[in-house]
Amino acid sequence: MSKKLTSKQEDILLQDYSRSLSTKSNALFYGNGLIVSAVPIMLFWRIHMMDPYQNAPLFAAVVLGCSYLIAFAYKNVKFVVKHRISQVREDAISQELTQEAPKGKKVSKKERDDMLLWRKNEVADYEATTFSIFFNNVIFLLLVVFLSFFLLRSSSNLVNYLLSMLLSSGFVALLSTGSGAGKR
Amino acid sequence: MSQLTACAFLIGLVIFTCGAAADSDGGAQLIGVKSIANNLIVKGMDVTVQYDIYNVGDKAAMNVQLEEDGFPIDYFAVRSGFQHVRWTRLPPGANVSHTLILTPLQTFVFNASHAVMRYKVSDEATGSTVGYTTSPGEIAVIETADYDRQFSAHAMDWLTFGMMTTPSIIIPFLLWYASVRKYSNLASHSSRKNN
Repeated sequence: MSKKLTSKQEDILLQDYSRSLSTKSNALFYGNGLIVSAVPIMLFWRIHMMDPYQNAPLFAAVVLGCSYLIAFAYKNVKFVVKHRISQVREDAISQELTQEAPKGKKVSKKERDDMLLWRKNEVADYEATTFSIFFNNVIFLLLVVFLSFFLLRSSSNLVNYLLSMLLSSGFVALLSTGSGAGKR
Repeated sequence: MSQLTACAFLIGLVIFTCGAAADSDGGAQLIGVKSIANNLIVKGMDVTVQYDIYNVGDKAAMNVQLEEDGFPIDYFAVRSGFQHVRWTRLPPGANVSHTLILTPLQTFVFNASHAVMRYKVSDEATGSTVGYTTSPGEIAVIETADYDRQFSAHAMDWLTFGMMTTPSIIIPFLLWYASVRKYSNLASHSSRKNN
């Protein structure tokens, strides 16, 4: 890049290409992961008849493990998808900025480029986050139901719970590490 | 096959009852069959016990009494029907049925034995004749949870699961889709303008 970037642009680009997440994003991902991995307990309690009090330590350990794996998958999918969205949305965001710009006020090219970069990052981050949560939640929940009610239905409750939860979250995490994760 | 078994069972019953009522001479002869209609007996769920009494003698049985004392109140609650029933007359060749509905209160293996039938072999008979119904034998009362696990449709549970998972799928999808629509519309608007 021949043109020297300002520090603000650098920050945005670094944020855009970095895998590290803000505290807010981390909280969102771990919170979502925790909810999604805790919901299947209801199936194992009501349908597989696993006593929630007796199995509380097991449930807690598995939920924590699965939350970590699901949050890992959210992060990876978000990272991959964010770049694609960022590229696709450039024209639309530029159009939006033109519409939003106050009439009669001159905006310098540099200011407009900064604004475009910032808005592009914001939109891509938002879309990638929501898509990543949706995509991973669907795959995880479908896998849990399929494994526990079809593939592992004849195994004992303990084995069924452990395997269906860990295999599902493990698969989601593994899938997210591929370069084509969340391809749209 | 099941018809053959039923025939053999009835023949056995006739022999048994004839032996039991050998003291009655040309009077009424009663055969009682006690059966449990449920295939599975589950704690807290109704069990139907059916009694069928046949008069295979050549005279009407008088003052027929059926006494069921085989279901202790600690283990069973009576939901419907009576444990002691009386019919004034049972003509020859006729039969009567009685149904008792119980609810098992505990999980256990239970030996359901016979009920007692008392009747007069004829109108003129002075004393009562005692007969016994068949015994269903050992029955196992299973836990409701085990029954539910195997046989319940769990419609409510699946509905609850659906309601619990829907927000975690629908909310991110709607947020993502709203953004996609917004920017797709802007992009198409922009391309139309350029053309």
